Amino acid sequence: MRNAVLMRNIVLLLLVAGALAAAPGTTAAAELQPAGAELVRLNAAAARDAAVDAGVPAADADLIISRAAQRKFDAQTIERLLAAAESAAKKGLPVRPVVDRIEQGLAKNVPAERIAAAAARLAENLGRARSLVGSVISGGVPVTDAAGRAEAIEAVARALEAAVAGSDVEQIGKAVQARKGSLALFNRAVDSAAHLAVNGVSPSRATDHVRAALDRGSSERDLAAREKRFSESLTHGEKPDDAVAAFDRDRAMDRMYKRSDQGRDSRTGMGGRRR
Amino acid sequence: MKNERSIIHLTLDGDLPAEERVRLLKRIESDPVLSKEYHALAEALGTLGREGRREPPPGFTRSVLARLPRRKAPLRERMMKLFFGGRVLRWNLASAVAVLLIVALAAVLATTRQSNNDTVTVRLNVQAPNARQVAVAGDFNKWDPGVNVMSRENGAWTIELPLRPGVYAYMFIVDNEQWITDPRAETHRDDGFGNRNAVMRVRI
Repeated sequence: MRNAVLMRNIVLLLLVAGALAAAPGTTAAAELQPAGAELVRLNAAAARDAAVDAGVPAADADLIISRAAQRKFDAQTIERLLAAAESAAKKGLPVRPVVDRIEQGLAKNVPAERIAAAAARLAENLGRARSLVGSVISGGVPVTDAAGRAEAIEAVARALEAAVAGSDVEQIGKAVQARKGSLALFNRAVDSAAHLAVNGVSPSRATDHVRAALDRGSSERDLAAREKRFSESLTHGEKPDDAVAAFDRDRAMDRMYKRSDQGRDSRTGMGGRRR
Repeated sequence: MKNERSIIHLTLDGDLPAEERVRLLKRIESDPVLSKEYHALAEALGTLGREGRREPPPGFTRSVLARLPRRKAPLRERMMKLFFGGRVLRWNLASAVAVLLIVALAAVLATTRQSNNDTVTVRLNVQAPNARQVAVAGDFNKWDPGVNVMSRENGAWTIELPLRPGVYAYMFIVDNEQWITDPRAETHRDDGFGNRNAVMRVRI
């Protein structure tokens, strides 16, 4: 009987102890999320400082950490993201596109691995783009300001991402040099080639198309209009190659009409302008 | 005495012939009263001669004229003087510097205001009839879907964005989860993650 009472008391004590132990455990679990986020922030602080020291804007570094912590990324992943921006900054490359890509990926709920890979790829292409833009500038295309140069590097990096070859970018640069065009025209032309390539035209054909437009004296505005028309064609269900072919057809028609006008002028004196 | 004083003045002024002057000087010297007055006047003339001619202070004429009793001119005359009367601008270096500073400040303010006005209002709209909420995110707001929420107007979702000239990538976010490309955008570009961002070029 005494043993039974003793056993009952022991069981009761164990239940009370278990209940007491469970209560703080529940509290700890509830507080884990913010404490974990804070811990991630603390662990990423060193990577943040290194990135900012390298030239990444502090506001952007903080935004990346904040969004990554919201998505419960671990500190190592955040370090990888910041490292891509830091790497670009250390090499003197434009940081804005890399930072923008990371922020964009975080906002769009892209998996961390893909964001890090895309940011690193962009940083690498920016490095290649810098040397390509350097050769275009040294070839005689004037630079008005540092911002224009950064825009050109970004445009070329985006074209490289769209599988436009470096040699094709050089060809576009030579076409711009040949007509003593500006760096803004070069940017526009590279952008146009990337636009066509991204939308399904083979990169080499896209480059040829843009070069031909430059050779004919197309301005930035002309290239923009052409891009818009191309987008509209795709919206109406036309195939990318067909849309480009339509431009070429139009061009051939223009040439034919011009020749026809000249012929009328020289042979009959009719249909042309009176001199 | 009156006659004698005139003799002194004639002598001091040098208006007399030499013989007459000598005779009169003798006469003055013989009379202590005349002599005293003559020498006092001669000393005063000498002092004035040594001091030289002094220029009146600036504004002397104006202040004198201001003290003269005024005649109120007819209205027409006053208006003619107001609009067509010549004016002399009196200035000094301090006032010139002050005017220069005011002009410079006005120019700076005008430039600042101009730069603030360098934004262009861009209107975006998208058809999403079944959406509860549509927002736009792009590189202009660091891809934050919570910043630029669109409003529903006649069945379409619309927003006006004040943007500086430049090239911007953007996407719409439907119900805070679905990212969609603007099909009516000027151009599109790869976002690096397999999707296409809409691109707008903002020009002044």
